[in-house]
Order: sequence, then C-alpha cells, then structure tokens
Amino acid sequence: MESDPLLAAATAIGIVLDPTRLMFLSSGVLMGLVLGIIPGLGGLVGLSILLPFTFALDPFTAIAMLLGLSAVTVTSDTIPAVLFSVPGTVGSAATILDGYPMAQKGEAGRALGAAFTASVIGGLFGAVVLGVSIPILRPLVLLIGSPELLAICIVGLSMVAALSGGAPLKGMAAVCIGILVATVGEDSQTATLRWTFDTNYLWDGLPIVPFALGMFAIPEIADMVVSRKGITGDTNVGNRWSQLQGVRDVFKNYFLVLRCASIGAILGAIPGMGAAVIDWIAYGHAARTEKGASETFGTGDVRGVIASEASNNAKEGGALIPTIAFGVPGSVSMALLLGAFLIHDINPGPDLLTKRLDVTYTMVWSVAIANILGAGICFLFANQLAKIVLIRIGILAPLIIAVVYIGVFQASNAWGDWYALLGFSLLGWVMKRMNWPRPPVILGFVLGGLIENYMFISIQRYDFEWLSFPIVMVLLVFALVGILRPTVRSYLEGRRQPKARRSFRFVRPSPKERPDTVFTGIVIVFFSTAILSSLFWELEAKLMPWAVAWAGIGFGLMHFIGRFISFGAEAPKAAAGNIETHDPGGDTTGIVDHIAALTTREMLRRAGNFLGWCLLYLALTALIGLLPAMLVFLVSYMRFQGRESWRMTLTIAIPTWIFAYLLFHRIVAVVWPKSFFGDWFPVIRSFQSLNFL
Amino acid sequence: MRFSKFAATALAGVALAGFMPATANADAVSDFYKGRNITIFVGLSPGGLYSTWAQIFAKHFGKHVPGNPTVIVKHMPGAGGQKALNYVYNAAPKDGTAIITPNSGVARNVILKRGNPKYDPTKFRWLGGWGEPSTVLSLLKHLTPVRSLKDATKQQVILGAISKSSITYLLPAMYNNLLGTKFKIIAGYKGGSKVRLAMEKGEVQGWSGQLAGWVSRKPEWLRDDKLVHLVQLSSKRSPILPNTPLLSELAKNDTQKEMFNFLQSGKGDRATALPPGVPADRAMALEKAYQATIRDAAFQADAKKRKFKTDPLTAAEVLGSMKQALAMKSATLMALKKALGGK
Repeated sequence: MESDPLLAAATAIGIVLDPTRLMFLSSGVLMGLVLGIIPGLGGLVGLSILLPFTFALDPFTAIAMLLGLSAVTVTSDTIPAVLFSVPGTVGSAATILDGYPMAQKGEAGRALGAAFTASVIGGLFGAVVLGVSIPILRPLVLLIGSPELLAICIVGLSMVAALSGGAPLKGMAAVCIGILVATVGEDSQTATLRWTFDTNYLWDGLPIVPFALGMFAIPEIADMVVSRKGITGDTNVGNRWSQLQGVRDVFKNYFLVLRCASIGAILGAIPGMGAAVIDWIAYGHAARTEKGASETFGTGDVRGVIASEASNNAKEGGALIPTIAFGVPGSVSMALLLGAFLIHDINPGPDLLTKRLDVTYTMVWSVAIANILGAGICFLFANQLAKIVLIRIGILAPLIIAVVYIGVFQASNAWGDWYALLGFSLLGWVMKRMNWPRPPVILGFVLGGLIENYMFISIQRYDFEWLSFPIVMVLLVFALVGILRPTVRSYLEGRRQPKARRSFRFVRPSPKERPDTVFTGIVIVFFSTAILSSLFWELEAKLMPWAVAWAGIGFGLMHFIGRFISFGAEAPKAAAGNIETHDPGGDTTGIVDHIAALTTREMLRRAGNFLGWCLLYLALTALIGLLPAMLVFLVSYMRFQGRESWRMTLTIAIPTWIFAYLLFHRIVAVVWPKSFFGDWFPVIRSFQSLNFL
Repeated sequence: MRFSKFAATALAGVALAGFMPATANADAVSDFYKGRNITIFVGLSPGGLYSTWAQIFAKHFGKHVPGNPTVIVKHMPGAGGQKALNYVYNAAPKDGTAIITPNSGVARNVILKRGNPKYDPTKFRWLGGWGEPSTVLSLLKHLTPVRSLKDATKQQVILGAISKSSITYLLPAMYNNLLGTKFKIIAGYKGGSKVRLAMEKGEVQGWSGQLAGWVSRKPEWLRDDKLVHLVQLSSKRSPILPNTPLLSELAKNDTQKEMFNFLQSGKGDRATALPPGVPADRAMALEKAYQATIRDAAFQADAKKRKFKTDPLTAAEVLGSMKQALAMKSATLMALKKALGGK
C-alpha cells in the first residue's frame, strides 16, 4: 500500500511483532532448527510439510512462518557438522573442514559459539542487504546473465588450490573426479544418457546428499570405529567459557565475517548459485586471504568455521532478491516459497517493490528475527550439545549411521541413494587414508554441472564474444590471479632460498607412500575408463567429461611420476624433497591419528568389520524394511559390537527409534522401500501406522 | 514377559486383518478409508504448477472420499516425471491409497520411446482431468520484430529451452524442420522461470512454454501486451489468445495434420490416475470424489487464487485420448519422430 520504504519498513515490523505472528514465526524457527540438524532433511522438506497448513493463515503470518523455518536450517546444520563431520544440510559441508578438527581437539563449544555468532551476524547482514537494495534490485539482477554466471563458477573453481591442503596435484585430480561425477545423467545439449547404466536413478544426475554424506560423514565415523576412540578425549568440553571464546573469535575477525556475509548475500541473490556452492566459495576466499591460513586451515582454525557459517546464513536474504524481484526462485526452497506467495495472492515482480513494500519488508524482518531466535536457541543448548562428543563410539557410531541411512534416503527415495552413499563412503575413506584432499571433489561436483551448462549456453548464444563482457573479464582475471598466485609465490620463495645443487634422482616410493602411489594409479585408470566408455558419444556430450578426464590423467600422472623422482639435495634425509611435500599425519595440530599406530592388517580388519555392519543394515532393510531394520541395527550394534549393557542399549535405541518413526513416518510421510517381509504379508501395509514395510 | 504380551497383541492384530472380509459396498469403501492416508504422487519438485495444484487438490479431496481419509502430497521428482509414473504403476500399493497426478507426456514418452517408461498409459485407472494445457511459442516484442511463424522463416529468433530432450526444444526444432522457421534454440536453462529471466535480460527472445506460466508468473506482461504468441497447441484456441493460430491450422498435409493434432491434444496432460489393479468399488468411489472435488466451489476458489483454470474432463475422455494417441498410424509416427529430430 505504501511506497515510502522507511514507512513500509516501520509498518512491517509492527506486522511481524504481532504476538500471534511472532508465535507462528517461532514455531517455524523451531521446526527449521530440528530439520537442519538431521542430515537429508532441510528447509525444502519443512516447507513442503508446512505449506498446506499456511493456506488458512493470513499472508503475513504464512510468510513469517515459512521464512522462519527456511532461514534457520543453516544455523543448526552446523551442529552435526562440527560434532560428527556430518553436514546437516549441504550448506554446512565447508564448516566441517575446520569445525570437526576443533571438536577433535576438544574445542567443540568454541566452534559452535563461533558458528552461531557468525550465523546470526551473517543472517542479519543478508537481511540488511535485502532491505537496502530493494530500490535497486531489478537492474542488479539483470546484470548477471549466463556468461557472468559461468565466470562466477570459474572463480569458485579457482579456490581449489586453497582447498587442497598443500597437495596441489592431488587437489587438481580430485576436482576433476568431482566434475566428472557431476556430468553423470542426461546431458541437456544432446540428450545423451551419460553413465546412467540404464537406471532412472542417475538420469537427473547424482543427488548431492549421498555424495556429501559419503565423502565426509561416513569416513570420519569409520575412522572412529577403526581406532576405537571417540571424537575427543578432552573432557573439558562444553563449559560456557569456550562458547564465549567462540563469540570473541567472531568479533575479532569482524572483517572476515563481513566479507563472507557479502559473498553469501551477493551469490545468494543469483539464481543458480545454491547453498552447496556458496559456503565453499566463502571458505576458499578465507583460506586464500587470511594470514597464515595455508598452515592452519583444515586443522581446526576457527576462521574457517566463521567464513562458512557467515556466508550460508547471509545467503537466505540474498536468495529472496530474485524471488521477490522477478519471481525467479534462487533455490528449490524459494520455489516453494514462491508457490506460497502465489497462493496468498502475492505476485512477485515490480508490484512487490513498489505497491506491496509492506509484504517485502515483512520478509526482511522475518528473516532477521528468525536468525536471532535461531541462533539464540542454539546457544542455549550449545553446552549440552558439545558434550555429545564424549559419547562412547559404540553408541555414537550406530546412531549416526542409522540417522544417515534414513536421511540419505530422502534424496530420491530409492535404493540408489544407499548404493551411492556406500560407494562414495568407500572412496572418501580411501582418499582420507591416502591423504588425498576431499573438499576439491565436492567443489568440482557442485560447480562442474553449472560450468558445463553455462558454458554451452554462453557459447551458443554469444560464440566467444562473451569473453569481452566487462563483468566476465574482471571475474576471470580474479580467477587467474587465484590460480597463479600460490605458484608464483612458491617460485619466488624457491629463488630466495640458498642455491643447493639441484639434481634429479629416480627413487622407489617409500613404504609410506606406496599405497598413495597405487591409489593414484587407480585414479588414472578411472579417468581412462571414463574416456574409453564415452568414445562414441556426440561431441557436445563428451566435451566436458573428456576435458576433465584428460586433465585428471595429466595431474594424476604428474603426481604418480613425482613419487618416483626425488629433487634437491642428495642427502638421504631429503625425503620431503618429492615434487609434492606431503603432510604426514599432522600430529602437530593437536589431533592424534590413532589409526597410524595400527598395523595395516588390523586396520583393514576393523574397517571390513564396520563395512560388514553397514551392509548388514542394508540387507536387513531389504528383508524387513528400513524402520524395523534401524531398530535391529541399533540394538545389535550397541549390544554386540559396542558391548554396551542391555539397559543402556535399549534406553538409547528405543526412544531414538520412536523419534524416527514419528518424524519420518508420521510427519514427513516417507515412501519407504519395499521389503520382502512386506511383500509376503501385504496386509500389514494396509495399516497406516504399520505401512513402513 | 512384557515383550510376549506385545507380540501376542501384534499377532492378534495381524490375524484379525487377514480375516477382514472384502465385501463390496459403500460401507466397505468408507471403512477402508477411515483413518487411512491417500498419497498423491507428483513427479516434479515442489513449488511448480503440478505440485501446487496437487496441494490445493489434496486439501479438498479428502472430504469427498467416503471415510474422509487424510490426503497428503508426495514429491518424487526424477526423469522428467517418469520415475513417479513407473513407481506408482509398478510398486505403489494397489489398494487405492496411492494416486498420481502425472505431468505432461504420459503417452508421448511411450510412443516416442523417450526414456524408460515402464507403464501402459491405457492401463492406468484414470479418474478424470482438470483441464488441458496450452503450449505457446511466445516472444518479447521489444526484442524482435518477428510477429508470426511466417516472419520467423525470414529472420532468426533466439529461443531458450530446458534440454534437447524436452518438449520446449523438440517443438521449435520441429517448426524448423517442417515449417522452415529459423529458430536458434539454446538448451540448458533449468526451468521456465530461468528462461523467462533470460528473456528479461535479453539473452533469449522467447520460448515455447505453457500459457499457464505466463498467466501465473508474468501476468503483467500479458496485461501490458508485451508478448507476441506465434502458435498455440491445444484442442481449441484459448480465449486469452483468440488471434494466435493453432498448430493444426498450419498443417500442409494430412500426415502433418495428424501429427499436429497428436501434439496439441493435451487431455491426458492434467489428469489423475490410480495404478492398475485397484478394487473396482474403491476406484469408482475415488472417480466420483475426484469429479466432485474439481467442481467443488471451495476448491475452485482456491484454484482461482493460484490462477488455475479448471475445465473438468471425465475419466472416459482422458482414457480415450490415451487410446487415440497410442493408435497413431505408424507412417505418421515415423514422420513425427523424424520431424522431432530422429530421437
């Protein structure tokens, strides 16, 4: 009704602060927090459950509730990311890199404190950006076309060096693996079905949830199980002081918070840049620009947590921009929200920026208040949550596996979700053991598909003219600097060092390097297989896969050969003189690698045993259905593998199961996989309360 | 002790269920649905037209079904909607608790052997339809002087499309093949809203999409006459576009006419179905409930808010259109496949 922004903003805060609306907003926030913690569930599931209930509400209340929910899932998703290396939603994958090592060092409270503070500041920043940019929204969004999007993705990809943990060649090869995996599915240019193996599952490409959980969550749990040690031995976790230290960390790094929040808000505003991409770009930015980051990032540096968390909450405000200004949803959650707008007769577009500013500012305030509430609630519980890291592994491992199994199934409700989960878990675990950096794989995966897509659109539409677009040029220079700077710097440093006699020598890989060498060989074979199996595809379908596969072979070979060549002084102590300096274990960081102490044989035996449990869970699922299998798995693992008492086992397993039953069966209404048992006795399925077989 | 008691109760329950007689009368249907859920499957992501429609429908459907079951919507996106179709046809419970509102192309995918359809469109138990979509090729006027398909044979027009296998690409490609238009089609946009944004940026000049998309997402463009629509695909001209020719009006011969009629018939594109094998009494009750729901004033009011136009189709009409599509002459089919790019 009003067109004066200030007046509209004032009216809007009155609307939001109405007690009933505030109550609905808070209930949305609570629901969002719960969904954010559980891997596989996120804002999308919450919104689709809530949406029908909001039909009956007035538009302002409905918006407040829905935005309350979707704004805070990225606040609470930090909790499992920090505590167990399980990303609660894909938006917190980058938080793991430093958050989980902090938990291992006994600093879970500090990490959570920093994460929640960064989240709320980021979220408020995003709301402010949204609020002040309303008058200039439309022209801003219209500046970004496909070529600009492509350039942004390339900048994102140039972060790979910062995410490679001091092993650039392995990092590059890993990024190629990620991109190659992203090309699976029907190609939009030729309709070729790339590596779908005749399944519907892979048709639309691999879903990110099993991929992310497989690469990060399961390998950490596997390592805990193998080493038979919990997350941390430090019992000093969870005192209030450590949390406050986290808060202080954020204020000490306020400039970093603002930079990452800006990245989140700006990229969030661009349709096509989702949560999965944004946290990585912010993290990569921090890793590249912060002082001393190359030594400490990835080993429990609180700045890594701050960067990722500030950006993913700021994103929410940004993502509303295209939704409001053009009716173009920035994400699937936004698409749902857009649906809700339309049901309540709110038409996105110019109207919302002029005549209906009250609605627009209601959104701004809702996001702001939700962020404060969400972080506040998380803070209250952070102390208790931080103590979870002390739970014995015999209880923790089955709990996490049980929840991850259900969560991952939400990706596409298909058995393929579990196969993908286990496949990538295996890959992730081997990479972890071989000291291959895993973040580049995810980075490649989230950006690979986008890059291919925007590249084809740009070239078809503009040939190569787009390379001369001003925004594109600036961004590409930026990316180039990002890639070249570390190389140039290390070259200059090399020159500054006193000249030693340089010499080549062929050597046998040391026993420590042998498995890595073998794995590199396997990676090269993998890329070669990819090329061979796509020989007969149309050119456009295989262009991208071939480019990355050849690049991957190149990087792999360089690394492989590097294992047989020694540079530098001839003294025998120069084991570190390989092409790539190799960080062995990293006990300097305070994280003890308990597995290194095991013999390879014992390690493989324990890992095999754990894999056996995972497969047993799957087999049980096929036999009696996922929910019953979950109960059997929880009880038998805790009792027989974890050797907990019956009393302990049942007190934990049964409430967990009831919670899962209520949440997934009654509320989310999951379509469960069909079990043999249910096929034999179909009559059971006709009862709603038992229809999970 | 406690456990054995539980087991006994459970066993008794299972045994009781086994003995429940399946008498065929309205009470049996009502007894069946009492306390149960009906799940409506949608083969696309939440937020879109089909999903929103299903959600509005779900809100009103339950009160028309005997026994007043709870109706919920379940999204099962994948393979352009085929995943959900395959699932409901083959794996979903056949007791009348699972229904599907498929998106467009149920019969087309089977005929053109697109993807991996594991169903027979004529064996679904159709309940009816809520209207017929109308596909239009629309351009933004200020981006191009082209005002008709004829103009488009003389001058290149840049169109956006979802992917090469999508109907948003296949149709303009067919116009190029059969009508001599010079559309340059850029595939790769992830959804209609992305194409519309690209039009707003001037990256593309138009696209072949659903009229409903303009009505619900860009009503101001329709109102301010910013668009020109070159051709429409539907059984009859839409009242919104009285001056835009139907595709069938542009056919140059009988084969083309048959092809175009097939392409523009959309009676199965906004329908609802049960999997085959649902007990007849329940299927009949659901058909009645479906027809009653889409005529329900409260439902229509909600649908109108969302700018859906309901135009009820009977179950027989939907089934008839499926049968007709599958009965296409093989020569026509060959020509069609060729015109669509030989895939």
